[in-house]
Amino acid sequence: MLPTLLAFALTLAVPLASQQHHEFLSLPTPAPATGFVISESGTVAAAPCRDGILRVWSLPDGKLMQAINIKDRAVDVTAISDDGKFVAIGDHQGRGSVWETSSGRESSPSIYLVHYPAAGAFSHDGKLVAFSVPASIIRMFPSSASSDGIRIPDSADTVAFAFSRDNSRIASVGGDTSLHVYDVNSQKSSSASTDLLNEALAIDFTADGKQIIVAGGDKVVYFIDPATGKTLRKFPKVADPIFALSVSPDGTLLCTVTLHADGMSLPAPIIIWDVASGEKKQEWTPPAGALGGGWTADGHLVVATASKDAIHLFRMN
Amino acid sequence: MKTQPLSRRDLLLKCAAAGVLTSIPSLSVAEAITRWEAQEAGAKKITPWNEIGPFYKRLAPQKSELRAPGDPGLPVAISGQVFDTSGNILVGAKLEIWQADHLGHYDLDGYRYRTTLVADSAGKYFFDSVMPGHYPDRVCQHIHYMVTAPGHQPLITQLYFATDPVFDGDPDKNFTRDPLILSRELVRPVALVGDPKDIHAAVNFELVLGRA
Repeated sequence: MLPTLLAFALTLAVPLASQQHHEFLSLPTPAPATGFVISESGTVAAAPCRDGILRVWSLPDGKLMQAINIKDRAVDVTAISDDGKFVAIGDHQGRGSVWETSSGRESSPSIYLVHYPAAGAFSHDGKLVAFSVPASIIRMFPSSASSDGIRIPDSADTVAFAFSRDNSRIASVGGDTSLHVYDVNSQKSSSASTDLLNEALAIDFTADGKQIIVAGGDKVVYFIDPATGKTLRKFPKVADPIFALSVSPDGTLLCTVTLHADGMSLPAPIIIWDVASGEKKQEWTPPAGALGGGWTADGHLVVATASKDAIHLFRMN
Repeated sequence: MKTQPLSRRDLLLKCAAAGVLTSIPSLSVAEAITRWEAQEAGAKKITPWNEIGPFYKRLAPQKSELRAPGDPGLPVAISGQVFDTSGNILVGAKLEIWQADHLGHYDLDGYRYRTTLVADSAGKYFFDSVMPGHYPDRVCQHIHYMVTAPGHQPLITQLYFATDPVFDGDPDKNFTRDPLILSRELVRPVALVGDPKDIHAAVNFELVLGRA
Protein backbone atom coordinates (compact mmCIF):
# COMPACT_ATOMS: atom_id res chain seq x y z
CA MET A 1 0.00 0.00 0.00
CA LEU A 2 1.42 3.38 -0.85
CA PRO A 3 1.37 6.03 1.81
CA THR A 4 1.47 8.70 -0.88
CA LEU A 5 0.63 8.86 -4.53
CA LEU A 6 0.05 5.79 -6.55
CA ALA A 7 -2.20 4.82 -9.40
CA PHE A 8 -2.38 2.13 -12.03
CA ALA A 9 -4.75 1.01 -14.63
CA LEU A 10 -4.56 -1.25 -17.61
CA THR A 11 -5.10 -4.95 -17.89
CA LEU A 12 -2.28 -6.98 -19.29
CA ALA A 13 -4.31 -8.07 -22.30
CA VAL A 14 -5.20 -4.62 -23.59
CA PRO A 15 -2.72 -2.52 -25.52
CA LEU A 16 -1.55 0.57 -23.68
CA ALA A 17 -2.97 3.02 -26.15
CA SER A 18 -6.52 1.78 -25.85
CA GLN A 19 -6.78 1.61 -22.07
CA GLN A 20 -9.68 3.36 -20.39
CA HIS A 21 -9.67 4.13 -16.71
CA HIS A 22 -13.01 4.83 -15.20
CA GLU A 23 -13.92 6.33 -11.92
CA PHE A 24 -15.69 3.63 -9.92
CA LEU A 25 -16.55 5.57 -6.79
CA SER A 26 -16.82 9.15 -5.65
CA LEU A 27 -16.49 10.01 -1.93
CA PRO A 28 -18.04 13.38 -1.03
CA THR A 29 -15.88 15.71 1.05
CA PRO A 30 -17.18 19.11 2.21
CA ALA A 31 -13.60 20.38 2.00
CA PRO A 32 -10.73 19.25 -0.23
CA ALA A 33 -8.83 16.18 0.90
CA THR A 34 -5.09 16.54 1.49
CA GLY A 35 -4.21 12.84 1.43
CA PHE A 36 -5.74 9.42 0.82
CA VAL A 37 -5.00 5.90 1.98
CA ILE A 38 -6.73 2.59 1.28
CA SER A 39 -6.31 -0.63 3.23
CA GLU A 40 -4.87 -3.63 1.46
CA SER A 41 -8.06 -5.47 2.37
CA GLY A 42 -9.83 -2.99 0.09
CA THR A 43 -12.50 -2.46 2.72
CA VAL A 44 -11.53 0.84 4.34
CA ALA A 45 -10.25 4.18 3.06
CA ALA A 46 -9.35 7.39 4.88
CA ALA A 47 -8.50 10.96 4.04
CA PRO A 48 -7.61 14.05 6.07
CA CYS A 49 -9.53 17.09 4.77
CA ARG A 50 -9.00 20.83 4.99
CA ASP A 51 -11.99 21.28 7.29
CA GLY A 52 -10.02 19.54 10.06
CA ILE A 53 -11.82 16.22 9.73
CA LEU A 54 -10.22 12.85 9.13
CA ARG A 55 -12.84 10.92 7.19
CA VAL A 56 -13.03 7.13 7.12
CA TRP A 57 -15.20 5.22 4.63
CA SER A 58 -16.08 1.59 4.17
CA LEU A 59 -15.52 0.19 0.71
CA PRO A 60 -16.81 -0.67 -1.76
CA ASP A 61 -20.06 0.96 -0.65
CA GLY A 62 -18.44 4.33 0.14
CA LYS A 63 -20.35 4.71 3.38
CA LEU A 64 -18.86 7.25 5.79
CA MET A 65 -17.82 5.36 8.91
CA GLN A 66 -16.07 8.05 10.92
CA ALA A 67 -15.54 11.81 10.90
CA ILE A 68 -12.65 12.26 13.34
CA ASN A 69 -11.94 15.75 14.57
CA ILE A 70 -8.31 16.70 13.87
CA LYS A 71 -8.75 20.47 13.90
CA ASP A 72 -5.59 22.57 14.20
CA ARG A 73 -3.48 19.64 13.09
CA ALA A 74 -1.60 20.05 9.82
CA VAL A 75 -1.30 16.47 8.62
CA ASP A 76 2.00 15.51 7.03
CA VAL A 77 1.49 11.76 6.73
CA THR A 78 -1.47 9.39 6.81
CA ALA A 79 -1.28 5.59 7.10
CA ILE A 80 -3.75 2.71 7.32
CA SER A 81 -3.25 -0.87 8.46
CA ASP A 82 -3.52 -3.61 5.85
CA ASP A 83 -6.72 -4.91 7.44
CA GLY A 84 -8.24 -1.43 7.73
CA LYS A 85 -8.65 -1.64 11.50
CA PHE A 86 -6.39 1.32 12.32
CA VAL A 87 -5.66 4.69 10.74
CA ALA A 88 -2.82 6.97 11.81
CA ILE A 89 -1.61 10.49 11.16
CA GLY A 90 1.61 12.34 11.84
CA ASP A 91 1.27 16.11 11.93
CA HIS A 92 3.49 19.13 11.42
CA GLN A 93 3.58 19.85 15.12
CA GLY A 94 5.32 16.50 15.61
CA ARG A 95 2.44 14.43 17.00
CA GLY A 96 1.51 10.91 16.00
CA SER A 97 -1.98 9.52 16.61
CA VAL A 98 -3.78 6.24 15.90
CA TRP A 99 -7.52 5.57 15.82
CA GLU A 100 -9.66 2.44 15.52
CA THR A 101 -11.67 2.79 12.33
CA SER A 102 -14.61 0.79 13.69
CA SER A 103 -15.20 3.05 16.69
CA GLY A 104 -13.39 6.29 15.88
CA ARG A 105 -11.62 6.10 19.27
CA GLU A 106 -7.92 6.76 19.72
CA SER A 107 -6.37 3.36 20.25
CA SER A 108 -3.55 4.83 22.34
CA PRO A 109 -2.52 8.30 23.52
CA SER A 110 -0.88 10.51 20.90
CA ILE A 111 2.88 10.58 21.08
CA TYR A 112 5.44 13.29 20.52
CA LEU A 113 7.53 12.47 17.49
CA VAL A 114 10.28 15.03 18.24
CA HIS A 115 9.85 16.42 14.76
CA TYR A 116 7.31 16.43 11.96
CA PRO A 117 7.49 13.14 10.05
CA ALA A 118 8.57 12.59 6.48
CA ALA A 119 6.76 9.25 6.13
CA GLY A 120 4.55 6.85 8.05
CA ALA A 121 3.40 3.27 7.60
CA PHE A 122 1.90 0.32 9.45
CA SER A 123 3.66 -3.02 9.67
CA HIS A 124 1.88 -5.59 7.54
CA ASP A 125 0.57 -7.39 10.62
CA GLY A 126 -0.91 -4.14 11.92
CA LYS A 127 0.84 -4.43 15.27
CA LEU A 128 2.69 -1.17 14.98
CA VAL A 129 2.83 2.05 13.03
CA ALA A 130 6.07 3.88 12.41
CA PHE A 131 6.94 7.45 11.51
CA SER A 132 10.27 8.67 10.19
CA VAL A 133 11.83 11.82 11.65
CA PRO A 134 15.41 13.05 11.16
CA ALA A 135 17.80 10.19 11.91
CA SER A 136 15.14 8.13 13.68
CA ILE A 137 12.08 5.99 13.21
CA ILE A 138 9.48 6.27 15.95
CA ARG A 139 7.26 3.26 16.48
CA MET A 140 3.85 3.22 18.10
CA PHE A 141 2.19 0.03 19.26
CA PRO A 142 -1.54 0.72 19.23
CA SER A 143 -2.61 -2.38 21.12
CA SER A 144 -0.23 -1.83 24.01
CA ALA A 145 -0.27 1.98 24.03
CA SER A 146 3.51 2.12 24.01
CA SER A 147 6.14 3.57 21.71
CA ASP A 148 9.87 3.55 21.13
CA GLY A 149 12.44 4.96 18.75
CA ILE A 150 15.00 3.37 16.48
CA ARG A 151 17.93 5.63 15.88
CA ILE A 152 19.34 5.40 12.37
CA PRO A 153 23.08 6.01 12.56
CA ASP A 154 24.71 8.22 9.93
CA SER A 155 21.44 9.00 8.24
CA ALA A 156 20.98 12.32 6.53
CA ASP A 157 17.23 12.52 7.05
CA THR A 158 15.04 9.50 6.48
CA VAL A 159 12.97 10.25 3.42
CA ALA A 160 11.11 6.96 3.07
CA PHE A 161 10.92 3.56 4.72
CA ALA A 162 9.14 0.23 4.33
CA PHE A 163 8.40 -2.92 6.30
CA SER A 164 9.30 -6.29 4.86
CA ARG A 165 6.28 -8.50 4.20
CA ASP A 166 7.13 -10.72 7.14
CA ASN A 167 7.53 -7.64 9.40
CA SER A 168 11.02 -8.69 10.44
CA ARG A 169 12.81 -5.70 8.98
CA ILE A 170 12.46 -2.00 8.29
CA ALA A 171 14.42 -0.52 5.40
CA SER A 172 14.88 3.22 5.01
CA VAL A 173 16.63 5.56 2.64
CA GLY A 174 18.37 8.70 3.75
CA GLY A 175 18.20 11.89 1.73
CA ASP A 176 21.91 11.38 1.04
CA THR A 177 21.13 8.13 -0.85
CA SER A 178 22.29 5.87 1.99
CA LEU A 179 20.37 2.66 2.75
CA HIS A 180 19.62 1.47 6.27
CA VAL A 181 18.12 -1.85 7.34
CA TYR A 182 16.88 -2.54 10.86
CA ASP A 183 16.23 -6.09 12.02
CA VAL A 184 13.31 -6.10 14.44
CA ASN A 185 14.29 -9.38 16.11
CA SER A 186 17.99 -8.77 16.65
CA GLN A 187 17.54 -5.01 16.95
CA LYS A 188 20.65 -4.60 14.87
CA SER A 189 20.89 -2.11 12.07
CA SER A 190 23.15 -1.91 9.06
CA SER A 191 23.97 0.92 6.72
CA ALA A 192 25.26 0.89 3.19
CA SER A 193 26.01 3.26 0.38
CA THR A 194 23.98 2.81 -2.77
CA ASP A 195 24.69 3.59 -6.41
CA LEU A 196 22.03 6.27 -6.51
CA LEU A 197 23.25 9.71 -7.46
CA ASN A 198 20.11 11.69 -6.76
CA GLU A 199 18.09 11.62 -3.56
CA ALA A 200 15.97 8.49 -3.14
CA LEU A 201 12.31 9.20 -2.54
CA ALA A 202 10.65 5.78 -2.35
CA ILE A 203 11.41 2.30 -1.08
CA ASP A 204 9.83 -1.12 -0.73
CA PHE A 205 10.87 -4.73 -0.25
CA THR A 206 10.33 -7.41 -2.85
CA ALA A 207 7.68 -9.89 -1.72
CA ASP A 208 10.31 -12.43 -0.64
CA GLY A 209 12.22 -9.75 1.25
CA LYS A 210 15.48 -10.60 -0.43
CA GLN A 211 15.83 -7.35 -2.32
CA ILE A 212 15.05 -3.74 -1.63
CA ILE A 213 13.58 -1.55 -4.35
CA VAL A 214 14.53 2.12 -4.34
CA ALA A 215 13.81 5.01 -6.70
CA GLY A 216 13.91 8.78 -6.77
CA GLY A 217 15.57 11.62 -8.60
CA ASP A 218 17.62 9.31 -10.79
CA LYS A 219 14.32 8.36 -12.51
CA VAL A 220 15.39 4.73 -12.32
CA VAL A 221 14.08 1.81 -10.24
CA TYR A 222 16.94 0.04 -8.49
CA PHE A 223 16.83 -3.45 -7.00
CA ILE A 224 19.39 -3.54 -4.23
CA ASP A 225 21.10 -6.14 -2.07
CA PRO A 226 20.09 -5.21 1.49
CA ALA A 227 23.40 -6.36 2.96
CA THR A 228 25.75 -4.45 0.69
CA GLY A 229 23.67 -1.70 -0.91
CA LYS A 230 24.86 -2.88 -4.30
CA THR A 231 22.61 -2.67 -7.33
CA LEU A 232 21.42 -6.06 -8.54
CA ARG A 233 19.44 -4.73 -11.49
CA LYS A 234 17.67 -1.61 -12.74
CA PHE A 235 14.57 -0.80 -14.74
CA PRO A 236 14.80 1.52 -17.75
CA LYS A 237 14.98 5.22 -16.97
CA VAL A 238 11.71 7.14 -17.09
CA ALA A 239 11.11 10.77 -17.91
CA ASP A 240 10.43 12.11 -14.43
CA PRO A 241 11.53 11.57 -10.83
CA ILE A 242 9.85 8.69 -9.06
CA PHE A 243 8.50 9.69 -5.70
CA ALA A 244 6.41 6.70 -4.70
CA LEU A 245 6.50 2.99 -5.42
CA SER A 246 4.84 -0.15 -4.15
CA VAL A 247 4.99 -3.87 -4.79
CA SER A 248 1.69 -5.68 -5.32
CA PRO A 249 0.68 -8.09 -2.55
CA ASP A 250 1.52 -11.11 -4.71
CA GLY A 251 4.88 -9.57 -5.55
CA THR A 252 4.51 -9.79 -9.32
CA LEU A 253 3.89 -6.15 -10.11
CA LEU A 254 5.49 -2.88 -9.14
CA CYS A 255 3.82 0.48 -9.38
CA THR A 256 5.78 3.74 -9.62
CA VAL A 257 4.39 7.24 -9.38
CA THR A 258 6.30 10.04 -11.03
CA LEU A 259 6.55 13.68 -10.13
CA HIS A 260 5.67 16.44 -12.57
CA ALA A 261 8.55 18.85 -13.03
CA ASP A 262 6.30 21.80 -12.26
CA GLY A 263 4.73 20.45 -9.11
CA MET A 264 3.60 17.29 -7.41
CA SER A 265 -0.03 18.29 -7.48
CA LEU A 266 -0.05 18.17 -11.29
CA PRO A 267 -0.93 14.97 -13.18
CA ALA A 268 2.05 12.77 -13.89
CA PRO A 269 2.41 9.24 -15.26
CA ILE A 270 1.89 6.20 -13.11
CA ILE A 271 3.54 3.04 -14.36
CA ILE A 272 2.96 -0.64 -13.65
CA TRP A 273 5.96 -2.86 -14.19
CA ASP A 274 6.31 -6.59 -14.28
CA VAL A 275 8.79 -7.28 -11.49
CA ALA A 276 10.32 -10.38 -13.00
CA SER A 277 10.89 -9.10 -16.52
CA GLY A 278 11.19 -5.35 -15.89
CA GLU A 279 8.70 -4.74 -18.70
CA LYS A 280 6.43 -1.75 -18.56
CA LYS A 281 2.90 -3.14 -18.46
CA GLN A 282 0.90 0.04 -18.20
CA GLU A 283 1.37 3.75 -18.14
CA TRP A 284 -1.41 6.14 -17.29
CA THR A 285 -1.69 9.79 -16.37
CA PRO A 286 -4.76 10.44 -14.19
CA PRO A 287 -6.96 13.45 -14.97
CA ALA A 288 -5.68 15.28 -11.90
CA GLY A 289 -2.69 14.92 -9.63
CA ALA A 290 -2.89 11.61 -7.78
CA LEU A 291 -3.76 12.16 -4.12
CA GLY A 292 -3.02 8.66 -2.90
CA GLY A 293 -4.00 5.06 -3.35
CA GLY A 294 -2.67 1.56 -3.05
CA TRP A 295 -2.84 -2.07 -3.95
CA THR A 296 -5.68 -4.20 -2.72
CA ALA A 297 -5.27 -7.88 -1.85
CA ASP A 298 -7.15 -8.95 -4.99
CA GLY A 299 -4.39 -7.40 -7.09
CA HIS A 300 -6.11 -4.18 -8.12
CA LEU A 301 -4.49 -0.81 -7.91
CA VAL A 302 -6.71 2.01 -6.69
CA VAL A 303 -5.84 5.62 -7.44
CA ALA A 304 -7.46 8.64 -5.88
CA THR A 305 -7.68 12.18 -7.17
CA ALA A 306 -9.40 15.06 -5.44
CA SER A 307 -11.66 17.90 -6.45
CA LYS A 308 -12.89 20.58 -4.05
CA ASP A 309 -15.82 18.49 -2.91
CA ALA A 310 -15.00 14.84 -3.56
CA ILE A 311 -12.39 12.15 -3.81
CA HIS A 312 -12.51 10.23 -7.08
CA LEU A 313 -11.41 6.61 -7.10
CA PHE A 314 -10.11 4.85 -10.19
CA ARG A 315 -9.25 1.20 -10.44
CA MET A 316 -6.52 -0.07 -12.64
CA ASN A 317 -6.51 -3.67 -13.83
CA MET B 1 14.64 43.72 50.75
CA LYS B 2 15.07 42.82 47.11
CA THR B 3 18.54 41.39 46.42
CA GLN B 4 20.42 42.08 43.23
CA PRO B 5 20.97 39.02 41.02
CA LEU B 6 24.56 37.82 41.01
CA SER B 7 26.69 38.45 37.95
CA ARG B 8 27.92 35.36 36.20
CA ARG B 9 31.41 35.88 37.56
CA ASP B 10 30.20 36.38 41.13
CA LEU B 11 28.04 33.30 40.85
CA LEU B 12 31.00 31.22 39.77
CA LEU B 13 33.14 32.65 42.57
CA LYS B 14 30.42 31.78 45.04
CA CYS B 15 30.32 28.22 43.66
CA ALA B 16 34.06 27.99 44.10
CA ALA B 17 33.79 29.18 47.68
CA ALA B 18 31.14 26.56 48.34
CA GLY B 19 33.39 23.89 46.93
CA VAL B 20 31.07 22.94 44.09
CA LEU B 21 33.40 24.42 41.48
CA THR B 22 37.04 23.46 41.47
CA SER B 23 39.91 24.09 39.12
CA ILE B 24 42.99 22.18 38.03
CA PRO B 25 46.01 22.75 40.31
CA SER B 26 47.94 24.80 37.73
CA LEU B 27 45.12 27.27 37.30
CA SER B 28 43.74 29.61 39.92
CA VAL B 29 39.97 29.73 40.32
CA ALA B 30 39.93 33.34 39.13
CA GLU B 31 41.96 32.46 36.07
CA ALA B 32 39.78 29.44 35.32
CA ILE B 33 36.67 31.59 35.54
CA THR B 34 38.22 34.14 33.19
CA ARG B 35 38.91 31.41 30.67
CA TRP B 36 35.40 30.00 31.18
CA GLU B 37 33.87 33.38 30.39
CA ALA B 38 36.04 33.74 27.30
CA GLN B 39 34.85 30.35 26.07
CA GLU B 40 31.20 31.27 26.59
CA ALA B 41 31.70 34.60 24.81
CA GLY B 42 33.08 32.81 21.77
CA ALA B 43 30.51 30.05 21.85
CA LYS B 44 28.19 29.74 18.90
CA LYS B 45 24.86 28.02 18.49
CA ILE B 46 24.58 25.18 16.05
CA THR B 47 22.97 26.35 12.82
CA PRO B 48 19.36 25.15 12.85
CA TRP B 49 18.54 22.01 10.92
CA ASN B 50 16.25 22.15 7.92
CA GLU B 51 15.22 19.16 5.88
CA ILE B 52 17.40 17.84 3.11
CA GLY B 53 15.00 17.53 0.22
CA PRO B 54 14.39 17.69 -2.41
CA PHE B 55 16.90 16.55 -4.87
CA TYR B 56 20.23 16.28 -3.19
CA LYS B 57 22.70 14.79 -5.67
CA ARG B 58 26.04 13.21 -4.83
CA LEU B 59 29.39 14.04 -6.37
CA ALA B 60 28.73 17.61 -7.38
CA PRO B 61 31.91 19.07 -8.90
CA GLN B 62 33.88 21.71 -7.04
CA LYS B 63 33.20 25.10 -8.59
CA SER B 64 32.45 28.52 -7.23
CA GLU B 65 30.81 29.84 -10.37
CA LEU B 66 27.39 28.24 -10.48
CA ARG B 67 26.02 30.98 -12.72
CA ALA B 68 26.98 30.65 -16.37
CA PRO B 69 27.28 33.80 -18.51
CA GLY B 70 23.86 34.79 -19.71
CA ASP B 71 21.96 32.75 -17.12
CA PRO B 72 18.66 34.46 -16.37
CA GLY B 73 17.82 35.43 -12.84
CA LEU B 74 19.19 37.89 -10.30
CA PRO B 75 22.89 37.18 -9.72
CA VAL B 76 23.65 36.43 -6.09
CA ALA B 77 26.99 36.02 -4.32
CA ILE B 78 26.86 33.82 -1.24
CA SER B 79 29.68 33.71 1.27
CA GLY B 80 30.29 32.67 4.84
CA GLN B 81 32.45 30.91 7.35
CA VAL B 82 32.19 27.52 9.00
CA PHE B 83 32.67 27.24 12.77
CA ASP B 84 32.31 24.80 15.58
CA THR B 85 30.32 25.63 18.70
CA SER B 86 33.43 26.94 20.45
CA GLY B 87 33.86 29.53 17.78
CA ASN B 88 36.83 27.80 16.13
CA ILE B 89 36.90 27.90 12.34
CA LEU B 90 36.58 24.54 10.60
CA VAL B 91 39.21 24.57 7.89
CA GLY B 92 38.50 21.96 5.24
CA ALA B 93 34.83 21.52 6.06
CA LYS B 94 32.99 20.13 3.04
CA LEU B 95 29.93 21.99 1.82
CA GLU B 96 27.55 20.34 -0.65
CA ILE B 97 25.23 23.03 -1.98
CA TRP B 98 22.34 22.78 -4.41
CA GLN B 99 19.43 24.88 -5.58
CA ALA B 100 16.77 25.32 -8.26
CA ASP B 101 17.27 27.65 -11.20
CA HIS B 102 15.43 30.96 -11.52
CA LEU B 103 12.29 29.09 -12.62
CA GLY B 104 12.33 26.70 -9.67
CA HIS B 105 13.64 23.65 -11.56
CA TYR B 106 16.33 21.34 -10.22
CA ASP B 107 18.83 19.74 -12.57
CA LEU B 108 18.56 16.01 -11.91
CA ASP B 109 20.36 14.88 -15.02
CA GLY B 110 23.43 17.11 -14.66
CA TYR B 111 25.01 19.39 -12.07
CA ARG B 112 23.68 22.85 -12.88
CA TYR B 113 23.47 24.92 -9.71
CA ARG B 114 25.18 22.25 -7.68
CA THR B 115 28.60 22.37 -6.12
CA THR B 116 30.89 20.85 -3.54
CA LEU B 117 33.06 23.43 -1.80
CA VAL B 118 35.81 23.16 0.80
CA ALA B 119 36.19 25.81 3.48
CA ASP B 120 39.55 27.53 3.05
CA SER B 121 42.28 28.27 5.59
CA ALA B 122 40.06 30.89 7.20
CA GLY B 123 37.09 28.54 7.23
CA LYS B 124 35.49 30.63 4.48
CA TYR B 125 33.51 29.65 1.41
CA PHE B 126 32.09 31.57 -1.53
CA PHE B 127 30.01 30.89 -4.62
CA ASP B 128 28.29 32.89 -7.32
CA SER B 129 24.79 31.87 -8.40
CA VAL B 130 21.34 33.20 -9.24
CA MET B 131 18.44 33.75 -6.90
CA PRO B 132 16.51 30.48 -6.96
CA GLY B 133 12.96 30.63 -8.22
CA HIS B 134 9.78 29.62 -6.46
CA TYR B 135 8.17 26.28 -7.24
CA PRO B 136 4.71 25.05 -6.30
CA ASP B 137 5.69 22.55 -3.64
CA ARG B 138 7.68 25.05 -1.53
CA VAL B 139 6.59 28.44 -0.39
CA CYS B 140 9.94 30.25 -0.23
CA GLN B 141 13.09 30.61 -2.29
CA HIS B 142 15.91 28.59 -0.74
CA ILE B 143 19.34 27.07 -1.19
CA HIS B 144 20.21 23.67 0.33
CA TYR B 145 23.35 22.89 2.31
CA MET B 146 24.87 19.68 3.63
CA VAL B 147 28.03 20.45 5.61
CA THR B 148 30.40 17.85 7.03
CA ALA B 149 33.67 18.03 8.95
CA PRO B 150 35.60 15.31 10.78
CA GLY B 151 34.62 15.03 14.42
CA HIS B 152 31.42 16.95 13.91
CA GLN B 153 27.79 16.13 13.30
CA PRO B 154 26.68 16.67 9.71
CA LEU B 155 24.64 19.83 9.25
CA ILE B 156 21.69 19.77 6.88
CA THR B 157 20.03 23.11 6.46
CA GLN B 158 18.64 25.68 4.03
CA LEU B 159 19.26 29.34 3.38
CA TYR B 160 16.29 31.65 2.85
CA PHE B 161 16.21 35.27 1.72
CA ALA B 162 14.70 38.16 3.62
CA THR B 163 13.74 39.76 0.31
CA ASP B 164 11.45 36.88 -0.61
CA PRO B 165 8.09 38.42 -1.57
CA VAL B 166 6.38 35.81 0.59
CA PHE B 167 7.57 37.67 3.69
CA ASP B 168 5.96 40.94 2.63
CA GLY B 169 9.05 42.80 3.82
CA ASP B 170 8.73 41.48 7.40
CA PRO B 171 10.51 38.14 7.78
CA ASP B 172 10.44 38.42 11.57
CA LYS B 173 6.67 38.23 11.48
CA ASN B 174 6.09 36.21 8.35
CA PHE B 175 8.85 33.59 8.12
CA THR B 176 6.37 30.94 9.27
CA ARG B 177 4.39 31.37 6.08
CA ASP B 178 6.64 28.60 4.85
CA PRO B 179 5.85 25.70 7.21
CA LEU B 180 9.26 24.22 6.62
CA ILE B 181 11.13 27.21 8.02
CA LEU B 182 11.54 26.38 11.67
CA SER B 183 13.99 29.10 12.59
CA ARG B 184 14.20 32.80 11.75
CA GLU B 185 18.00 32.48 11.80
CA LEU B 186 17.92 30.78 8.41
CA VAL B 187 16.38 33.83 6.73
CA ARG B 188 19.31 36.02 5.82
CA PRO B 189 19.43 39.70 4.85
CA VAL B 190 20.22 40.50 1.24
CA ALA B 191 22.44 43.36 0.13
CA LEU B 192 22.15 44.76 -3.37
CA VAL B 193 25.55 45.76 -4.63
CA GLY B 194 27.35 46.71 -7.80
CA ASP B 195 26.75 49.05 -10.66
CA PRO B 196 23.08 50.01 -11.06
CA LYS B 197 23.26 48.60 -14.58
CA ASP B 198 24.74 45.37 -13.32
CA ILE B 199 23.24 44.93 -9.92
CA HIS B 200 23.57 41.76 -7.97
CA ALA B 201 22.70 40.44 -4.54
CA ALA B 202 25.07 39.43 -1.76
CA VAL B 203 24.23 37.22 1.19
CA ASN B 204 26.33 36.07 4.13
CA PHE B 205 25.50 32.71 5.68
CA GLU B 206 27.60 31.54 8.61
CA LEU B 207 27.42 27.85 9.49
CA VAL B 208 28.06 26.26 12.88
CA LEU B 209 28.49 22.52 13.35
CA GLY B 210 28.07 20.58 16.57
CA ARG B 211 30.61 18.08 17.83
CA ALA B 212 29.99 14.42 17.07
